[in-house]
Amino acid sequence: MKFDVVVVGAGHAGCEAAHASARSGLHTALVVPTAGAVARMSCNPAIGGLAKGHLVREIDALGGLMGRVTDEAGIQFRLLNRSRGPAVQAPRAQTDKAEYHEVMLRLLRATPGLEIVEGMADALRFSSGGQGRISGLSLSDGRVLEAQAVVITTGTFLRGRIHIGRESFPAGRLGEAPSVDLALSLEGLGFEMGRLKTGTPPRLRRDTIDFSRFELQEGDSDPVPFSFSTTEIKTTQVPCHIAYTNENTHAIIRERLHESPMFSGRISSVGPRYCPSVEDKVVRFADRLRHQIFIEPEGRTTDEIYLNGLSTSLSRESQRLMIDSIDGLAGACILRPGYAIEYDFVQPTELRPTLESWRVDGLFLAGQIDGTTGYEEAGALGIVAGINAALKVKRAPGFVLGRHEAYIGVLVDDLVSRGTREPYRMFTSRAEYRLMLGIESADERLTPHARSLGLVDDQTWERFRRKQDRVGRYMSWLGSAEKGGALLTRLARPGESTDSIELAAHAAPPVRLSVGERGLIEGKVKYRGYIEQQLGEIQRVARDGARKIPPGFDYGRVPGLSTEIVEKLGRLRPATLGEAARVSGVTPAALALIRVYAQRPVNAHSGVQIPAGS
Amino acid sequence: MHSPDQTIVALSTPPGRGGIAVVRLSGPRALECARTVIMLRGTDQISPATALLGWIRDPRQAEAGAPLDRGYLVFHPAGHSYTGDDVAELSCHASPVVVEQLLEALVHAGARPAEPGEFTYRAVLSGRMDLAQAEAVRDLIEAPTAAAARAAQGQLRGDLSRCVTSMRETLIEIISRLEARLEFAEEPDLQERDLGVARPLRDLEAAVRGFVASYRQGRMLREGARVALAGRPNAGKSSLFNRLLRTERAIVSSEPGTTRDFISETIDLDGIAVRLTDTAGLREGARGIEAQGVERARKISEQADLVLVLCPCDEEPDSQDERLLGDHLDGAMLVASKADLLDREPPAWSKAGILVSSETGAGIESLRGAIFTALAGAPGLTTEAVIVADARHHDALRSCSESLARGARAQQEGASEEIVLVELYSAMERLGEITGAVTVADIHERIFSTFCIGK
Repeated sequence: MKFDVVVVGAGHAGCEAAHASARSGLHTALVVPTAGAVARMSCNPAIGGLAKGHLVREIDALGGLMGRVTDEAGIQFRLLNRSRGPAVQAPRAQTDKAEYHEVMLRLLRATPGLEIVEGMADALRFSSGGQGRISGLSLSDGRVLEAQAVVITTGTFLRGRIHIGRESFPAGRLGEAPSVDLALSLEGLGFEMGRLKTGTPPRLRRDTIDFSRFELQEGDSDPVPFSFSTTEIKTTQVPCHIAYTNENTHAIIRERLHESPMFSGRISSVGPRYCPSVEDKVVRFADRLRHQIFIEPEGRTTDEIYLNGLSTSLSRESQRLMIDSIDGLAGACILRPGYAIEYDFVQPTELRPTLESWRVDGLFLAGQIDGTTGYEEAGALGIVAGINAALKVKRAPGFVLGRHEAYIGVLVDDLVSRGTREPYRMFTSRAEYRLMLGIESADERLTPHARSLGLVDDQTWERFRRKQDRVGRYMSWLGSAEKGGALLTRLARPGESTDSIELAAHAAPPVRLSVGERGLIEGKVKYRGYIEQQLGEIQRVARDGARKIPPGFDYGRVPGLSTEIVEKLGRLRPATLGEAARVSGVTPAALALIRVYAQRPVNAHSGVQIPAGS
Repeated sequence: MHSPDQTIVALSTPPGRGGIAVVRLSGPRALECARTVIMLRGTDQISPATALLGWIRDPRQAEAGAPLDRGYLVFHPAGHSYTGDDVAELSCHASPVVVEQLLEALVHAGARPAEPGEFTYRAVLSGRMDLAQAEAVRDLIEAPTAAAARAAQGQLRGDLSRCVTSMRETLIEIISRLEARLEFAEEPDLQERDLGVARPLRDLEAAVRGFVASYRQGRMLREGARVALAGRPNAGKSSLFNRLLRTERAIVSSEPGTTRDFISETIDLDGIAVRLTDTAGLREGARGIEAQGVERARKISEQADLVLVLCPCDEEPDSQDERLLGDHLDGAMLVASKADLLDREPPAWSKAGILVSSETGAGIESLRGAIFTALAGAPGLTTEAVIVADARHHDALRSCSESLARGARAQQEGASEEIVLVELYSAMERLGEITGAVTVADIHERIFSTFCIGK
C-alpha cells in the first residue's frame, strides 16, 4: 500500500499527527492494532490543567483535535486560577473515557485522506543504500506500507514492563502486549535510549463506594471550553469527590514498602516527581497526617472510578488493605489494581526541532517516546510531528515555533536542546514569556501559521478574523482620546476587569465581548509594560541567536569546551549561535566562548583585563 | 592560540630591579620547561608546593657556561594550582638581564609568552574561579592601599560570592513558593496555606539595598577617594595640603592667588587612598590664568567625594563658602584654618567645622579622623564587612534591588503572582550575573522537595 505519511500508534500523539498530515493534503495511514484502541486515556480521565490546558488551546489553534474532543466528551469543566491573571488561567475537564475515544475516532474517520490501518507494526523500511532514509513500514502480517515519512508514537509500549508488588510482566498497558521489535530496531539504528517509569492508581467499582463520606467538588457554573470553535458547553456536569488517607493507611504502606519495585531497588528508572506514588508521598512527607485522594468518574455511564492521588505499585493484597483503610472506600470492589510501568524512550536530543530524527531522514518521533508525560504534551508533539512530516514530503522548510510564540515552542525546544532525565511535563514556569502565552491569545499567536499551512478551514478562519476585529475595536475604544485613555489606565490596575470598567464608562463599548475575549483584552492591558519589555528582550536574543557560526568552524580550537560538546557540535553543525544554544549540554559559558572564537579567530579574551603574569 | 594544551610563561612580579623575580609557567609542559633552566641540587624527586634550590642557567649556551643565578623551583601539579593546570614557578634575583634571558630560554624550551590575564583566564576556564573571583584578582593587583587589598582578598576568598549565593537561595525559596501556588491550582492544600513570602521578600530587598550602598565605600577603597581643598584665596589651603601630605610639596606664599592651577597627591588615610587636590582660591574678579584656575577649582570641587571648605578663623565664611557647603550637603566639611593666629576664643561659626593649624599641627589628627569617617562611614566597613567594589556587581545588584522593590510593591498591591514573579525572575537574573545562573530546574527542584504535590 502506498501512502505519503505513515503514523504508528493512535494515542494522543498519533491522532494529532495523522490528522495534521492528512489536513495538509497528504495521503496518511494511521496504524493501530485495533480501531478500538484509538485515543485511549490510559491514566487519569481528565484533560487540561495549568500549562496542559494551554497546550490544548494551542493544538486547537493549529487546527488540532484534542480541544474539540474534550469539549464534546467532557463531563466536568473547571477554569483554574480564576482569581489570578489571564496568563495563568487554564481549563481542566473530567472526561468520559469511552466517549473521548468515540468522538476522536469519528473525527479521524471524517478526515479526508486519512486511513486507519489495523495491524501491528513490525519493522521500519529504508531506501536502498543503508539506513539513512526511511521508505515505509512493514506489518507483522506481511503487509508493507510505503511512505516518505514515518511518525512513531508508541507511548509506553516500547519494551513496556508492568510491576504490581513483586509481580512483573511485559505489557504496554494492563492487558496489552508491549512493542519489543520496534524498540530493538530503534536501538539498532544507534538512537540513545533511556528508561522511564510512570504509575497509575487502582480503579474501583462505583456502586461499591460510599460517596456520602466525601467532600464534594463541583464543576464551574459557566464552563469555559477548550476549543475556540466551541461556543458553549451545554452538558450536565458530574461532580467529583475528595477523600483522605489516614495514619492507618500510611502505616500499611510503610509496613509493605519492601514490596515496592522502586523502594526495594528492583527498578531504578525515573518517574515523574509531580505525579508521585502514594508510597513516595508517605515516605518523603512523613509528617503529613493525611493526603488527598480525588475520586474521579471515568465516564458518565461507566462503572469505573479513578483514584487520583493513589498511584501505587504495591501488591494487590496491600492495595486491598489500603483501600479498606480509607473512609468511604472500605470494602469497595477493585476492578483493576494500580501499577507502575517502565518503558523505553528515545533521548529527544536525537531529534531536530521538527521532531525528525537526526539519524534517519524521514523518521519522526512524537509523544511519550520523546520522554514526556501527559496526554496534552503528547498531542502537542504529535501535531508538530504531523505538520513537519507533511512538510518533509512536500520538501518545504520545517515548522518550528519560538519559545515566545507558544508553549509548544517551549516544549519542543526544551526537549531537543536539553533532553530529559525524568518524564517531562509542561509547567507555565518553563516559559520565560509566560505573560504572552495566555490561553485566550493562542489563536492570535498560532492560527495565522495554521492557515498558511492549510490546517484551518475557511469557516474557522473567518471566525478568527471577526474576533480579531472585535477585539481591535474594543481596544481602540479603551484607549480613545475622548476618555484620555483613563479606562485603559484603570483596567491595568489589580482587581479591575472589563466588566468593572464598562460599568464606570460613560459610553457603552462598541462590541459585546465574549468571556474569552475579555480574558484576551485584560491580558493585553494588564501585562502591557512587561510584554513590551519582553519583546525587546526577544529581539535582542533573536539578533544574538542569528549570529552565524562559520560552516567549517573547528570546535576543538575553543578552549574549555568538553570533548563531548566538541564532538556533538562538530556532528550537528549548528548554523547559528541560537541553534548552538539549543544543543543539549551547551551552557551559557560554553556559548560565550564559541561566540568569541567564532567571530574573532585569535587573541580573543574574556572581558577581564589582568596584567601579564597574574 | 588559547589552547590549554599550550604551556605559557610570564614574569609574575613587576618588571625592573628588585629583590626577587618570579617567573611562572602554566600548562602540561610547565615542569619540563622549567627543568631545562634549573639544575636542582642532587634530587630528581619533585615534591609539590616545595621550594627546591638550584642553579639557573641558559641551556642554549655552551655546557661550560656559567650559571645565570641561584634560584628556586616550586611546582604545583594540575588540580592544585592557581590555573588548574600544572604550574611551575621559578624565583631568581630581580635583575632585568637575568629575567630576560631566563624568559628567552623558557620560550626556547617550548613555552609561549602569556597574554595579559591569561593565567587568570585559564583559572576561570578550568573552573578554579568564578568571574567574581577573577575580577577580584584584578582588583587585588591594582589595589592602592591595604584596606583595598583586604576588600579584594575578601572577594577572592568568595565573600561576595557567598553573600550573593545566600541571597539567591532566599530568592529561589520565595519564587518557588509563588510558583507552586500558580502551577498547582488543583491542590487545595497549597491554596489555603499562607505562603509567607511578604516578609522574606522585604528583608531580601533591604539586604540587597545595603549591598548597593556599600558600593560607595567599595569604590573609594578601590579607586581612592577624591578630596578637594577649596576656599577663598589665602585661606591656607596649600599649607593644609602640605601638612596632610607631611611634605613641602605645594608652593606656599602669603600672596593671595599663588596656586594658579591645582596640585594632586595621594595619601594613605588609614587604608583609604585619598587623592588630595589643592585648588586655586575662589574669588570673584580673577583674571587671565588665575580665572582659569578658579574655573578648574570649581569643577574639581564638583567632582570630589569630599570638599574641605577652608576659612581662616579670624574671618567669617562668605556666600561662596556657604554655597560650596550647601551644594555638597554631606560631602563637604567646614575647616577653620590658621588657628595659631587666634588670640581669643574661636569664633562661634567654627564650631560647625574643625579648627586646625597647619603651622602647629593642632587639630590635624581630628581632621584626618573626620575625613576618614566622612568617606568610609563606620570604620568596620573598611575592614571586615563584605563590600561591593566592582562597577559590574554594583550595576547588577542595583537593578536587582530595583526589581525586588517593584516585586514587593506589586505583591502588596495585590497583583497576581505571575506579575510579581516577572520582577523576581529579573532580580534573579541579575544576581546570576555575579555567580552563575539559576534555571527553572532549580526552582522545580525546590518546589518538589518542599511541597507534597501530586493528585
